[in-house]
Amino acid sequence: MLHPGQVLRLLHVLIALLVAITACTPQASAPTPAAAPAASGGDFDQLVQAAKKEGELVIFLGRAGSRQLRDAFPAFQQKFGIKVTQVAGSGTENADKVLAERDTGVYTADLWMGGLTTINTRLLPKKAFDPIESLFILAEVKDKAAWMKGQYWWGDPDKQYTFLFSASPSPLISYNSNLVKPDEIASFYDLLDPKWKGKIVSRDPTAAGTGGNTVYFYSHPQLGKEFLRRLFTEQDVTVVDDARQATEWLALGKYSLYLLGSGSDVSDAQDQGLPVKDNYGPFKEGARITAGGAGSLSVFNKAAHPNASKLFVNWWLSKEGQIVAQKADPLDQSLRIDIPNDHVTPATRRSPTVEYSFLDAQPEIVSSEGDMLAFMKQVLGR
Amino acid sequence: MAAVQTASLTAPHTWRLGRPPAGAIVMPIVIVVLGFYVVYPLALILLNSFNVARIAEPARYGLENWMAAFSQPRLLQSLANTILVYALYTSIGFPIAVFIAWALARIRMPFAAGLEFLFWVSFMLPSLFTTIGWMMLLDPDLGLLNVAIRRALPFITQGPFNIFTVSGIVWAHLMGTVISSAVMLLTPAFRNMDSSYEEASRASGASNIGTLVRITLPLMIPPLTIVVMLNIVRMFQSFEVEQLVGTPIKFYVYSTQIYQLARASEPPQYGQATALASLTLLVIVILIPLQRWLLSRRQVTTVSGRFHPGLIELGRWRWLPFGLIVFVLVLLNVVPLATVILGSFMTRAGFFQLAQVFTMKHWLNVLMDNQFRSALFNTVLLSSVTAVISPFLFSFIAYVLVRTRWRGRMLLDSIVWSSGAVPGILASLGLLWMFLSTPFLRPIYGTIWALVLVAVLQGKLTGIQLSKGIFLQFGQELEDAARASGGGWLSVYVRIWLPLITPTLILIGMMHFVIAAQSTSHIVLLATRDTITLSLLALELASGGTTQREEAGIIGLILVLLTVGLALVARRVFGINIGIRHQ
Repeated sequence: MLHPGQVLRLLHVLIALLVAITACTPQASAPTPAAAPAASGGDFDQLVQAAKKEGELVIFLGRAGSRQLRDAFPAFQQKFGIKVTQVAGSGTENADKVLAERDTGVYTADLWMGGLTTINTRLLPKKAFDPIESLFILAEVKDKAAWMKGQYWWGDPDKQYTFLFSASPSPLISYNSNLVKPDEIASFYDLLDPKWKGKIVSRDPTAAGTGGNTVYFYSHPQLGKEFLRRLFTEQDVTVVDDARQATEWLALGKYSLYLLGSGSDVSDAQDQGLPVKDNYGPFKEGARITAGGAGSLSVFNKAAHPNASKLFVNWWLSKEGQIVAQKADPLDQSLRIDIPNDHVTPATRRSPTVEYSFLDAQPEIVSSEGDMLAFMKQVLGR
Repeated sequence: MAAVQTASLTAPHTWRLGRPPAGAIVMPIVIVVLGFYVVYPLALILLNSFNVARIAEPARYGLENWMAAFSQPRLLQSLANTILVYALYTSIGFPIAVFIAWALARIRMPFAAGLEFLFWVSFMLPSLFTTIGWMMLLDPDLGLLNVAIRRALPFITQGPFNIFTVSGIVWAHLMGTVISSAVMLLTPAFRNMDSSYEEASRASGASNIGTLVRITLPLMIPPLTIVVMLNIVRMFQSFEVEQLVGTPIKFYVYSTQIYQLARASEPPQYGQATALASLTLLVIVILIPLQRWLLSRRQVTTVSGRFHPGLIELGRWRWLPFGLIVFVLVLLNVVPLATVILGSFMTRAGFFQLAQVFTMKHWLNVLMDNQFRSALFNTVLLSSVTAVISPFLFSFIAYVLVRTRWRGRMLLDSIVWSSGAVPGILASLGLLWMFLSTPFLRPIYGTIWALVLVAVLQGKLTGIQLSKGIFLQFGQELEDAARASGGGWLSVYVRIWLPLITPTLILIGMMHFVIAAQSTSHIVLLATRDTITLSLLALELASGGTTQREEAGIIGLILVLLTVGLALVARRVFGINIGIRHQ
């Protein structure tokens, strides 16, 4: 036991520690009040000056964007002297945060670069975004001929809020190369072969980050609901949330096939020498490209830093910005066709001779995602 | 003495003109302030669970979320699984923990203080690490232990161990915090027991074991009850082990159902998740009166004004409990720590078959990252402030609950318990809404102080219950004597109780340092890039796929070093042994 004198000494030490720590705390910066966007007539220099006055840009990212694009933003910060604050983490949590803020009149967010599921199911219905095309002032951004097939690509049904800037072939299937031959899965219907029963692991088809992949099966005219139902009910598929866990089980041979993987988890494991490979197809049912979770850009209305947002949009979609983006995230190829693609991983480069389906940019497919989620929850017994 | 006690207890009801009793002022303040921070976010979440409007539509209220939540097809099975796993790990782990706590506190044993400290270390290891460590050892096909056994004993062709079973889940729980947290909480309580009770028992011819069962354990009912009740409240929130080990064998528990609704679905079904989480509220409603009845029907004082310390002498037999405890500590500490340290230097943790097995890349990535340095600063600040504030705040509330007769104690106790009803995922949403919708809290939204407030509140249930257990052990005559000498309640609390319970305050402070440093789900929605902590940074890295789990492990390791270092400093600087010293 301590006597009162010792207790007082202990209290003094603790209070001194508290005071010292408090004194060292950096002061929280107050949100900058929103100002009217400048340079609406296209005066880029004027825009840069106005953006510099705001001094900061707040970008909300999903998991994929947090991981894949984090090295791209310092280039903008260095070029224009504007601090880029990345709000990383899961798209679900970031959407919780930004929607709660907006419901109570707090506007800290400027841009959103995340998966289309969160955008279409939560942010667009709350009318959180401004149309983006009216912000374009650089000629090279306004020039539609610089983009794939001479057009802009949109991830929202209204084709004005969610600009898609990159898209690449994405593996829907990965496999253990010791257990599976590459030609054993030439069609998605090969997955229904009884020999794979209990040998398939999948990321949760209803989770944020996999919706875009699942909706491909759901909306494909040759696959659809019945294919998904059979796959997830007849084949005893193990559903997990963690991509890393699924990849390692695949590498260890616990499972032979892995569905709905995302990002670079399998290709990284392959680079490390593990017996896993992504299967990019093309399959009998066709080939596809996807914008993934890090290939779209949306601008919040009532943005905290409207000029910095406008400047970033123009820089990011310019040749320079898209080259920086490709270097930071070599798995995703820019939809700009006037920049080199040698930084892009060969397996995820678009082939000029293949006709891809790009469901992310088809509004009727995008808007069917809610139905797909309800269907899959039913299939999975939730 | 009885007269003095009666006078002191009835004094609050005798108002003197112009000076109302302290309870009439202090109690409403405590209830309103704590109630606001605990009940308001809880009420927001509960209210929202009845909102059945689609997103962006005006609020519309109904029971659809609740009906949908409780009509899920595998809910009953997951509930049964939860109870099964809880019953198994509690029936195995709790007796082991009680025995270890008793042995550490009541037997003269070599290095007892050091052994006790190692249980703190085990408590500080995140469950995620311990679970992954055991998965790496006991995977039926590739687990290092299984492979080694099969190589040494060629007649064994498979297994022999399999972590992916119900017994594997129970094992992972035991090796997590089930044993270490109970030992941490119970050892000071055993140490505070007057040895004259045991000596009288042995003088009457009872053996050491007989004395333990008939005398010691009944006297320990308050702390034992509190530890059991805390575990019951957390039964429906335990998550990491089942997610990692249970999912591959399709073994779902109640908390994984809540997680599926709140986090693994897009859009998240918070209403349904809240409906499921409300089951814990029901458990709490049953537990509170049960706990009060249980504690009130026994004389539980173990420390009186005539306290007589002493330890049991076992002679050379003392090496038997010593050996058993060392064996448990090796299982609890060495496996997860060795796994994390080894894994942090591996290209991919657990994969020895790679061409380049070892690398320094992960350490360099972590230590060279600017975000790491600011996260380290934020973590030290958050955890230190929480560790300083929490013990005083919670011991004061416990004092009010146990040592006063002020009106409203039942209500205050209910508020405290209700805070344990909501899993972190949902609590963070309620807290976010509270900060944004409360004008006087808005200025600290986005600052480290919002995180401090949440971290302090996060540990209140454990902190207050632990303090209550200690207050219940001390005899009323200590307070009565002080009151008879003219001391007011505040003076008695500061001059009498604080010196007596300072060791426990240090323990609570340490626990809250760990809770704050490891906090993720409670603070995730309130943190910004400027206020991110190491635990949130580790969460980002661990959730990101690719190879970043090793870097998350390094951050976890740094957190452990930080907390263990602080614990060592606390022991060195203050020379504190948790509980009353026995010579």
